[in-house]
Amino acid sequence: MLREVSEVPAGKKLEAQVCIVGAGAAGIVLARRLAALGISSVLLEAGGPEREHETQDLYKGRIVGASYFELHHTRLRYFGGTTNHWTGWCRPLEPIDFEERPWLRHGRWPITHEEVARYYSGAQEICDLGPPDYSPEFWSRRTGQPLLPLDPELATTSIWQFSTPTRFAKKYREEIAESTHVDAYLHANVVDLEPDKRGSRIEQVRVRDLDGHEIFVRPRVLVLAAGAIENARLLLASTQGNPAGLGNRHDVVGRYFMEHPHANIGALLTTLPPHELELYDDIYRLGEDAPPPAVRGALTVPEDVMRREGLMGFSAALEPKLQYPPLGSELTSGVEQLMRDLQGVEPLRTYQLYLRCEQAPRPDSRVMLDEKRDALGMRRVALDWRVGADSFASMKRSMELVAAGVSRAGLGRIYSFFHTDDEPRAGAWPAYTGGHHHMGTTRMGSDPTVSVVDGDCRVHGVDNLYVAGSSVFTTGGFGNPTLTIVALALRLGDHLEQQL
Amino acid sequence: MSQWLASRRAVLSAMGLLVAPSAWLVSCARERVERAVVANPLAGPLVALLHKRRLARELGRAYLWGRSPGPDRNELVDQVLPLARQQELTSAPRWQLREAVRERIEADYRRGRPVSVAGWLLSETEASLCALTVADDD
Repeated sequence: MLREVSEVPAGKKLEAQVCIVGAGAAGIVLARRLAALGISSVLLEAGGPEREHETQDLYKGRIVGASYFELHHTRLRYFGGTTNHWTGWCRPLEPIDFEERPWLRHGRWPITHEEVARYYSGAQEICDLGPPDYSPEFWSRRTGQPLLPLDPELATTSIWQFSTPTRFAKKYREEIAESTHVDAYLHANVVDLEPDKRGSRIEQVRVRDLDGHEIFVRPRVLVLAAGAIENARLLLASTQGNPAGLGNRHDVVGRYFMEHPHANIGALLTTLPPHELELYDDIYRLGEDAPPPAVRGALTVPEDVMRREGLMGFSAALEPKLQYPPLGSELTSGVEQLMRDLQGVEPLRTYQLYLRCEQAPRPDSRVMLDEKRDALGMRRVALDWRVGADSFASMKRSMELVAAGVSRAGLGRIYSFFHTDDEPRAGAWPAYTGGHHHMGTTRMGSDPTVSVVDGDCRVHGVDNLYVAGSSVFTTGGFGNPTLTIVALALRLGDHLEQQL
Repeated sequence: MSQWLASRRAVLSAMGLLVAPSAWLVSCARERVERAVVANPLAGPLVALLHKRRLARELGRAYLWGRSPGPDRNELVDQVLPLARQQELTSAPRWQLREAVRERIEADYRRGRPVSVAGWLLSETEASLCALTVADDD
């Protein structure tokens, strides 16, 4: 069932087995999974079926740290959530992401890679992808395209699969509307989470539309699935029992905000003709009948080298459209001539290297409540995104390794911005930005002093409150988060089945 | 008697072990003094591997920028080719010299420690060879 919250009589208290806040990737997948397991849920979507100016305005916030996208542009508040502007990049987290990495403070997940990995097959299907195989060799065989013969001690290839992209609203709306196990409500903004006196259980959720029509949901289990910024905001804004916010006894909610720093800060001068780079220089489409419709390779650092050198996740994609100003100089001509003179090879083309990297989780990178309030009377958010010198040092070293791997194989030479001691600046040349990937604000961990949810995604100290989505990521890897969001939502569904 | 001879041999061997490194150090010091005065004969042939000297010089200047004092000609030659191979390559044909440089470049990259030349991540051998063109002009 799918209807407007205004159709429910004002003041009514809806009883629910499970109440899910947010109908984006995590919320929709969880509702479907629970329905398949015979569990009923109430799915609350803050927006309507389409984008609306007034609703989107509720997402406005302030940027106080590194330059970032406007907060009401980087998220979408309507049915389907941010999958409505998703570009479809998919890649799972790797085993190394779940390992203890001593060089990454607070980087340890409380669960193993295997516990998530067994849900990737299902996630691949939901996202309309191909087999859950991301080995470069597999996709080289499948596409008939060569892999770069990189020195495996220095550099390797990483693969992304591309969803069409799946528009979760379009694909699953009908199913949800017809489901006997899902009661979905539109324009159902959650404005308060009300716990019992001890603050150990959520008793009810206060829901309001922009006209002031208010209802309540009394769930056995509540799941926040509203995105990493909004999940933190809802917890921080729910101050009954604790003025610091729900689940925030140790001041962790909203902290450890992570992104994947994206940066146009390198170039590859290559000897390879374009037809040998087809798996790398654009999305490679396999055709309509062979899902997934597309894959793409990028340059990365092998996991054992990351362990040896204490590095974070890194990838550099080849972009044919060159934007880097210093190229074309005498120095570039000098490098070209050097390759001719010493290696007898002819440089053919220059590609931009577009970095997509992991950043270290850090407590001062955070989402906070601002003083300004929105039309519902809720405090807006302020985002203080920080990347940090350790993350930039890791990118710099990764660039060196990839450059050595490329050069040793005689494939070309690499230009890197990281040749000065200056850190890149967000929003100014040489620039880095994010990928609209909001992660870590209700991070998973076994220690409540540095995490918000446990390994089951349950908020520490609140028995029936769970969180779904990338806000629970302890670390972010370098792959796009949607596939893991979906996998974790499936996993949470199985956990809730056991609990209920 | 034979015991005395054996122990004498042992004493002499031990003395030899002590004297040999000292002699080697003296010879190295002498070589260093000579090399400071006499330009390494490989400098010219190495620079000649680069066809467009002007372009190589730009890279060389960028590599040397901020280094004061920078490496001299002979030190740069040593960075391009190992001392052990310099003698055999002094009269080697051009292709052989180029091959030796190429091997050094590959070894540099294999170590995974390229040097930055105004952003270009090159091997130390490549950068030193370019710097040699600057020293050549000086």
